[in-house]
Amino acid sequence: MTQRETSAEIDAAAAEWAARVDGAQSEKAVQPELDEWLSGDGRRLGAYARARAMFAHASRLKAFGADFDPDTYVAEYGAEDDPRPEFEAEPEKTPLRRRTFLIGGGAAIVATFVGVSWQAAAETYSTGRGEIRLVPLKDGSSMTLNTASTARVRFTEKLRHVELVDGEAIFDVAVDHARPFVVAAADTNIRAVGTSFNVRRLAGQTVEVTVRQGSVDVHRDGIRNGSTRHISANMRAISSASTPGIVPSSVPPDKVSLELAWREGMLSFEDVPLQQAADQFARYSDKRIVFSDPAIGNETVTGLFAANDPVGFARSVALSLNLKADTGADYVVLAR
Amino acid sequence: MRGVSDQRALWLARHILPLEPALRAFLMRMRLPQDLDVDDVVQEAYSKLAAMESVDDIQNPRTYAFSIARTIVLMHIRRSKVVSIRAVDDIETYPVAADDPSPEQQASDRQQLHLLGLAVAELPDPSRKAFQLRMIDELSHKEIAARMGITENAVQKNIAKSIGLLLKKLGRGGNISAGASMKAQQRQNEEPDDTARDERRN
Repeated sequence: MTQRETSAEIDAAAAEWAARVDGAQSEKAVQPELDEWLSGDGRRLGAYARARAMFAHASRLKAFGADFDPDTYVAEYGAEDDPRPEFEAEPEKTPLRRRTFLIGGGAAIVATFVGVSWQAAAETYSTGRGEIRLVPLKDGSSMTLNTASTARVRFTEKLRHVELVDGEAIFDVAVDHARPFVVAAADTNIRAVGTSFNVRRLAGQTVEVTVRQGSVDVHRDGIRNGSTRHISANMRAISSASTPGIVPSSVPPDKVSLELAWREGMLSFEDVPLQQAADQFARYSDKRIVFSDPAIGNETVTGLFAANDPVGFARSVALSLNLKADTGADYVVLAR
Repeated sequence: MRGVSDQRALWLARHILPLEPALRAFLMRMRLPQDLDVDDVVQEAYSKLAAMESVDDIQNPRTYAFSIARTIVLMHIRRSKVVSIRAVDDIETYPVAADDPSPEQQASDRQQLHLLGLAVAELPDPSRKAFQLRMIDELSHKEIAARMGITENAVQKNIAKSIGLLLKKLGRGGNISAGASMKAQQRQNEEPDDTARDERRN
């Protein structure tokens, strides 16, 4: 009986095969032999797949740029929690999806590799649909999470970092000059010292930052120069993949507070098309607002409404626009 | 014809590699039979994922990979001569969900890139040099050979070595130097076992 091959031997051979395929540019070039090797022990295919996966992963090193020097990188960022934004990555080239990878904006990282223990300090907060949650943070700041939102909070000695994974949140930041407060929303980073601002990151939409008090610096990853914009109170920054940078605009103070009415569980509209308003309500409730005729969706609405009451909204809209509101189990129809 | 397409390699890189440390911890807690070690199960799990016709329908790769790993363990136990009913029971009822790492336990894309950068720095030369020329400068093996004044075969060996070491580091959650890696493994061994005992007691 021959000795069963050890997994370490298989791993070593698999790495050789993956390197050989890499050199030959394709599996086809080495096919008959590769085929024969793979047809041996059932673990071989797995070990080989794993080595090929590491090749795919390692091709992301390109993101560091041609002048990447690992020693310099470790010397500068190895011990740090927050690698500097200078190490921005260029867009990754993959057939699956395009995305910008980077080291920057103060991602809080501890460089140890034992299990997943290094991530332990991050805390995640989420809200369900229709839920609004005030989260007091350790430093005296607070974060108010809007409906269906998730944020990951990680504080270190040098940095207060919050990743807005999905949804919308208002941040009331306590002043701490020694420890910047950075919110990351997709590829956009908002840096504050002490201020109050709202960040919205909805799937498929632009990232929007609205400042209520103080000011913040908004930075987009993947853009090297001139990408940081200073946004002060009563201003908004829009950051989207379709625009080259950050687009700032001013917003009247009363409009800012109306837009942040969600904190009190309210939605505010000013000449907003009904379809857009319906989309807003859909963020807060499973009860959908639908229109018997798409043209109704183009009518506009103005007012302050309870976010969790789409039916009440539909009824008051029906009254003012002379429509009918019919309520079903999980929808309400607006019809002429 | 066997093999692993570029697409599948990329899918594995994205969805399975990052959760490998958690998968290994899960397997260690399970108390595998004597003749089966974590590396065997991990290789077999990758085999299953590589051999699948399509991975498009896998909604949650984490849960999927964990249950594949568990099925593999069960298969081995059932096949072994000395079957302990207790062991089968334990593993069958071992909750996948409880060990399914929540998204926040997994490194984000940018963290993974950072970890990759740090891991490359730990590679010994000339493997590191060859690997960088291949991955960052995108030179062919032939060009690397000319640049470094070594044979193409040596280039291939150095790249294979780099891949192996990176897998050890990033996949296993250990350090590249062997001694440190042993320690990390031991630590991982101890902690999960304590948890498992506590769970059983409760």
